[in-house]
Amino acid sequence: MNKPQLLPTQKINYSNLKGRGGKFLVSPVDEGNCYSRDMFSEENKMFLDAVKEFAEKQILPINSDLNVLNEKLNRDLFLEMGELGILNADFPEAYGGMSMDKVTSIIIAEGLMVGLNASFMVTFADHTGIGSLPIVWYGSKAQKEKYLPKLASGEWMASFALTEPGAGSDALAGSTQAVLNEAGTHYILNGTKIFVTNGSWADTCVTFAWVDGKKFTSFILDKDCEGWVVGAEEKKIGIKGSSTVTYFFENCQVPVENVLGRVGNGSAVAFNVLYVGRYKLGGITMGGAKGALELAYEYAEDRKQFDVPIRSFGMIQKKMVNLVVRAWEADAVTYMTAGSIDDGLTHMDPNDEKYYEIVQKVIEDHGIETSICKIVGSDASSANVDDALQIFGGNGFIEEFPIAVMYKDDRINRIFEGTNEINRLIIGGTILKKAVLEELPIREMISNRSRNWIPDRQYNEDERLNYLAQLIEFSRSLFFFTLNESINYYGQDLKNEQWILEPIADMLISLAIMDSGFKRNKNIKENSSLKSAMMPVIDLVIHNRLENMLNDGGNILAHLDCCDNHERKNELTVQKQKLQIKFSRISTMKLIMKDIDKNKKYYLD
Amino acid sequence: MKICVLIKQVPDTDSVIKISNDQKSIEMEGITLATNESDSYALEEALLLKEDQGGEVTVLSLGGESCQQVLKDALAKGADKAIHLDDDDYKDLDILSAAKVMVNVLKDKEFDIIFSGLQSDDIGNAQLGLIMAELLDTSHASLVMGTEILDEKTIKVKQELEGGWFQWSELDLPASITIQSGLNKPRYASLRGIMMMKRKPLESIKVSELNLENTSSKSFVHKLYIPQKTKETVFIQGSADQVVDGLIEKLTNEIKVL
Ligand SMILES: Cc1cc2nc3c(=O)[nH]c(=O)nc-3n(C[C@H](O)[C@H](O)[C@H](O)COP(=O)(O)OP(=O)(O)OC[C@H]3O[C@@H](n4cnc5c(N)ncnc54)[C@H](O)[C@@H]3O)c2cc1C
Repeated sequence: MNKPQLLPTQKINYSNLKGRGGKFLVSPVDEGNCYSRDMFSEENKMFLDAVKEFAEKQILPINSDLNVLNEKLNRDLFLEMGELGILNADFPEAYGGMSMDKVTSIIIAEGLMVGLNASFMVTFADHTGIGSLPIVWYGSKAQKEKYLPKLASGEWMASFALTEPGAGSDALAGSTQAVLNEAGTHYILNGTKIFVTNGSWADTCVTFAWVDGKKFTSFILDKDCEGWVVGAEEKKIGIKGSSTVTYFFENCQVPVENVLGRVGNGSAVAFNVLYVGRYKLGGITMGGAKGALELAYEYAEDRKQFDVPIRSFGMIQKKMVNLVVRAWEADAVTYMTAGSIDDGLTHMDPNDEKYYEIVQKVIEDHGIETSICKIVGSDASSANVDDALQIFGGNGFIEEFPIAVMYKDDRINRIFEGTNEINRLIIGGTILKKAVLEELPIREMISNRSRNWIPDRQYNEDERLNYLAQLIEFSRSLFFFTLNESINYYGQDLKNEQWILEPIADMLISLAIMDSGFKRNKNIKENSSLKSAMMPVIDLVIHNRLENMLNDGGNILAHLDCCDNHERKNELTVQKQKLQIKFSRISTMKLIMKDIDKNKKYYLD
Repeated sequence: MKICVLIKQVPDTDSVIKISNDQKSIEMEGITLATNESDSYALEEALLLKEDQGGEVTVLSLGGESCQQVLKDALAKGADKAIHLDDDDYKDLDILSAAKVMVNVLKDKEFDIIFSGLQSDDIGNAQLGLIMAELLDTSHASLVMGTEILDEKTIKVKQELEGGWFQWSELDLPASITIQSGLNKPRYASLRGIMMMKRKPLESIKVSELNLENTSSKSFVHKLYIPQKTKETVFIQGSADQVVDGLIEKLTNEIKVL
């Protein structure tokens, strides 16, 4: 295959894609909309303000007390947040919750991060997410009645124990066994679970064991279960105010009515709730990325060297701009994801019996997006705490300064809720699955774009935006070209070829950022100051990401060419020549810095 | 118990204030607006009384369109009704005129208590509650740090006096009472409260359509400026005893810290 085949153009019905996972990938920038914070309802805005105010007054002032283990402080905050609906927004209304949408749960994550306390956020996210959600989703009526109201009010704290010494990323490799006792009343669990968040404080635990050695099953434990032994606290690099322990199940007696879901259905319980954990962590880390930015900006303004605030130095300014851009990117993909999941659930009644079954399906359908949120958020916050610390100079290395603690606390984000490697694997695997099962019009896109990498049409009336739209559509075509070539070369084996899957995942991440960032702009009121101020940010993000796309796509194509002596990369070179890139990175970044100084808004509210 | 709370929207205390070119007002661009601090405490006191005694809390604000936000916040926290006196030029009204505008709407509503904050964080007149009492012919207490309803006709209030002294007094209802910050712990709006907010009545009345007389202002802002910070160094000369005496004299009479 020297020249790519020209395939027939195929029609795609974009309106069918509303609320579907992966929609961003196949919808050109002028097709379909994308949720962003600019679409917040009045209630959304008021709730964000209320949560921020809570975090500012109730968390920030006790920040250092929350950085050491202090069960009572955490429980007191839980109770207060239970009253306000911050703890239980996601819980069903019938069991003391609010049955709120996913945008609200991101608003809560973002708002609470104003308290700048990662330890507490881990405690909170573990409780409201993986600790309680399995019961919301899979619990029987009796289980829900017994556990949910107390978890929703904050009276009880939840934990989730899946990881074992031999089973981390490979979560099903665990060896904990469950055997039904002779009377048929209890399962007897034996095994060890490690790294259990909220471990020594929790009143409940959702855990997993093999029944009869072959049926992976989920169980709810509570303090009445004899044989649930809690180990000592781990000594961690960061999030030192969050409890992390080992659980030993020593003939632990779990009543049969505490089987969660069906016997043998444990892997669905484990994996489905993790999707939720991921976009929530996306929200938390996006909030963290913003927090680091605020601290750095304030410091750069106050700190003088050579008689001027360090903010006036170009190298500091460049960091400031990058801090803004990363937070902006995380913001765009996180709200895009939450909004799309909500779209998928619009006509559903939370009181419907099948509601949570459908919620799971919709969230699972967004497997690409949820992993993107996790990766983009955690990469943004880790780069931001690092740059922010550098701006603090020596003070950044001293723990009295919150940025030092944030730096250490942040490291876990790339590890738990699926390491960022595992999340890239999920992105790669899911896109292949969606292609094979034809869940998305991927074949259609491959053939439509084989002809013309930049479909000849007017995307936007504004000349610059039209140009940027062309860059995005070029990137989209590059992605489909690369994906198609990789599938053609590797066939089924592509799913095991991580050297290729990782850059494919990275291309998808870049595309999600470009696409949601551009579409966000459409949601902003014409002629508003935000709209014009955001232009250089969009410009910079799209060019940065285009560069990544060319890099990742180029590497894959060059490798394939090496393998079979074909000339795919030439096609990229030819198509790339049609792009006439008009961009000055330094001027654009300087423009952004000027606006940051003027508005101190960072385009993030 | 029918309670009304007067609430003002003011620049957030964290805002960086810039004076406009005409030197009569401040630049509003880039300023975040918030509920006046002591008004939040007044609202909380009203909500606590309602929870204890039953009844209804109405919030009222005079200002431009943006001030609906502070009313909505109050509704989300638990107030039952809101009245917005819509006037883009409200800043031109002096405090007596502002009070007259409010009285015009409040006079027939038969409130048992009108709460307001001790003073606004922007202009700082600290007169509104007192003028309301006069115009509506009710009892009055300022600087109130605690309240207790004794019976349908009487409220007991704790007031702050100078030098750390307090005074309890009993007032006949109706009363206009101004609240000092810090007497309670203002609540946060709950998610449920915010969801309920839309279902509560918010009445907007255009002040220009009220055809009020006697509301032309008698006092005007002449000039706004930011106080100059000055530094002065004084050397006290003489023997050690003279220096000590001089120092004590300055600390006692000029700097007033002793
Ligand atoms: C503070 C803390 C709190 C935690 N809280 C909880 C909790 O509440 N409940 C719970 O169940 N678990 C919890 N965990 C466990 C956490 O989810 C795991 O540590 C994580 O999933 C990684 O597993 P692992 O540590 O065994 O690493 P491993 O799986 O051994 O991974 C080691 C490295 O290999 C990479 N790797 C592994 N497999 C692949 C692959 N197929 N392809 C490419 N690369 C791969 C990983 O990305 C990583 O870089 C917590 C961990 C910590 C540190």
